[in-house]
Amino acid sequence: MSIQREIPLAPTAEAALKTHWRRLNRRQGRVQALLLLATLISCGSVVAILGFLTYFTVPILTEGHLTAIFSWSWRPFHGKFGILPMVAGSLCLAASAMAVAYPLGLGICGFAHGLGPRWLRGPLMGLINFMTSIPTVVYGFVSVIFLVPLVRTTFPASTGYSWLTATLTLSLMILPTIVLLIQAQLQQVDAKVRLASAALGFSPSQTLLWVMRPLAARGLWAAAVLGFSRALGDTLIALMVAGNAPQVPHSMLDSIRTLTAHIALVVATDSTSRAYQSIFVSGLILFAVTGAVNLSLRRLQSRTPAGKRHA
Amino acid sequence: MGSKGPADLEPTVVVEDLHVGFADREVLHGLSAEFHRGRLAMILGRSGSGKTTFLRALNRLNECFPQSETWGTIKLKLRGEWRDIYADGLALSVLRHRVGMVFQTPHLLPVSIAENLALPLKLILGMPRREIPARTARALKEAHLLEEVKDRLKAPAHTLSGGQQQRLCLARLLALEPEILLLDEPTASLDFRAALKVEELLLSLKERYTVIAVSHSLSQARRLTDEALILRDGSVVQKLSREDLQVPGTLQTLLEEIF
Amino acid sequence: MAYFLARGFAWLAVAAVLGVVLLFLGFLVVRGLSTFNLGLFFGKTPVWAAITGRLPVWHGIWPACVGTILLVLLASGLALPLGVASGIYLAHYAQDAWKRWFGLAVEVLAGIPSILMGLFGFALILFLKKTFVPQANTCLLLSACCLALLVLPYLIFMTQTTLESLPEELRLAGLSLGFTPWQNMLHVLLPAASRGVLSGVILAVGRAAEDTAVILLTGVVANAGLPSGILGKYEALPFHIFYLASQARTEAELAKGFGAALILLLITAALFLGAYYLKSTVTKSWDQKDLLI
Repeated sequence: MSIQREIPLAPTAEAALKTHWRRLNRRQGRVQALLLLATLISCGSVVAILGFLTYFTVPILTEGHLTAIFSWSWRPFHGKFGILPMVAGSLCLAASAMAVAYPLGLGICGFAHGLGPRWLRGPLMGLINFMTSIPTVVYGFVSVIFLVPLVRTTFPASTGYSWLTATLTLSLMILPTIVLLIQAQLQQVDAKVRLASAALGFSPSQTLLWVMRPLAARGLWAAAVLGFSRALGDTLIALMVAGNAPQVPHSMLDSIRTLTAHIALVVATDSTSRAYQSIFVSGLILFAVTGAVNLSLRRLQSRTPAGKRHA
Repeated sequence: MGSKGPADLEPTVVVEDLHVGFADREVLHGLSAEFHRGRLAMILGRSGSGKTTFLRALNRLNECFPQSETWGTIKLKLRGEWRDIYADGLALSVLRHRVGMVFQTPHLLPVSIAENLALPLKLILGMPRREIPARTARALKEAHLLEEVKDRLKAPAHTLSGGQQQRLCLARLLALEPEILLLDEPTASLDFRAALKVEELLLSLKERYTVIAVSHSLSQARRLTDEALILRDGSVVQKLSREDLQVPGTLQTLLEEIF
Repeated sequence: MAYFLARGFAWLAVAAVLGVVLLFLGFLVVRGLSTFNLGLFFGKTPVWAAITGRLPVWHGIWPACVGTILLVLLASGLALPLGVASGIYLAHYAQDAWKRWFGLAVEVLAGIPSILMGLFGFALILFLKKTFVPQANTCLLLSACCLALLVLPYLIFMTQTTLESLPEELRLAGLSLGFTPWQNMLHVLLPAASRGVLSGVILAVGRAAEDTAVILLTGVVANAGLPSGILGKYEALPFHIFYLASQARTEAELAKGFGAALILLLITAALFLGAYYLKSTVTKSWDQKDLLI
């Protein structure tokens, strides 16, 4: 028996429907325009930042102070505004922090993937994840109270505010970034090779060292590059414990000043327009380096799951 | 009920020279077919033959996938008017609720049973709140589901069994008063008994709608279909009537040729 | 041989990091907890008078707490609509070619050091002073804008990835019924993605609460009391800690630094745990749903 006869269908009022759909259609266009606008603002902010940095740097070029800025002496009261010591400071600190943090990160990832007991893996990764939430300024504060006096008493020649102190503190801060990136890559590789290599009779640690490590090369590079860029971009730790003397360090116990700390210091201590110009150049350098890092990362990571929608 | 031959009927769906491709790979190569109201047509073929793509061309759902391209004409008779769905500016939301689709697995909205029916009514038809319960109940009844769910309409839809979920999806379509139903292996994810119930429902629906179903089960085709279209590699290789399907020999040949 | 070396090194690395981090946290908690009392927040000012702002607080961290809360609220208020809308656009609206360029911009934005966000704000004020608004100065609103830029990539990224990881059937269910893409987004996809988006919001709030470099350049000061308005100077917890680290003269001031540091850590840790929990329930709820279907 057909249902048609039991329950007659009432035809919906076509005219009312048509206005409803017209309204929907109009809203569709408006919404899309708004979403596009939001995206343009978000992405435009990058352009705006670059634009402002450039806008304030241009006068240096036209007035011909560029060579003065790219020199090795920062003595504002003597008219010397060279930022090269800060460039060196930034590179030194980022490199040394990586030199400490990267091997540690490798060790921790190895530990979590076969070199250590399984039961410790969860709590360890939990702690590393938690470390990402510790505020930088708290690292800096504890370092000032705890590590600086320690360095001072161990090496009486130093004030404690030194390249060494900053290195140790900063390495702790960038460690989670490194570990989590390598870990993510290892997990991807692990899923692929675990069964195959177990079937061949490899132990978990053999699998890690001889099968997974070569396959995870991309993640290892990404962690190195991103960790370096994090270290380069940090302001607070360098500002709080590195001592901030604008000089090229001769030993780990010397005080150094990074580009980031330099920007903060110049803005805080009201100075001349020449000093201001130097911070915009510093800003441009930082922007260029971190931008380059992100571009190279993009090449490195062929944007796995996130980029693909309809697999 | 004797089945009328295509000659006595005016078609409601006319497909001419349909090509569909995804990212330079053509899936359908110049397909033509006609479908009629009051008849259940089945598209048969092995996986990858373009069955689902063909079905999705009829409600333009292929456009929800990246880099899809469609050429050719599809004309549908909607509310007594012929519409060329790829040419004459018919709004997608209008097309898609009048050409309802059921998927292989139940595609539920993550809300309650009642809301699964009410939300589309509210959003697509702009129906006033007070009219919704009556329409919902009618659709559930039409989908043979009302008795089973009337006491738990507020429960989350995914607490229903697989067969009930699939019938809920059908009820959701029927509430929108479609004219053409597209069914993409609607019983594939169900066990035997649940599948039988859905089949029974389909037989009762074909009276009032143009029903186009995809299946990979020949025995199901034999039970349900009035005409069958055999697809292979994106082209129609054979058209069979109900009578053809009942001949044991044809079936055997088909089995060997396509499955 | 290499194997034993590697194993030994792994144990050493874990022991070293565990030791240092636990020592660090323990030191902070022990020194910080002992300072927890009303005096830490309000100094010698009566509590009610301090909260209502009737009397100024001189030796407490109350004004800094209020400053941070206002800052975070303002920054999230600015970043949330922008970030979620951009995430939606990138996930479901942008054409492939555009998507690549926008994605690139978001990644570059995510990589910009926070001090540059601050410098941007500072430059903006210099620019405004020179051109349209001679009396422009760094202030709470400016800091909030720059912080919003800082956390924007988190929001965009979390929104985009959660939306993209939703099951395909969910997207098709609504579209096949005839929902317009926006109806499908608003009534089906966004509710389903809400936990993921929310965990992104929480992470963003935590980031905004702890950042110091941005506000250092855009209007935070050591002794402003309660902020007079969004165009006024203000105090903030992270800056307060930074300030006390170098300027603390007495044991009492130092203790205050520990108290403030512990409070900030507790706030960011709580936010972190909240986001972590939400994220884990996102994956769980979809797993369960898959079982049921």
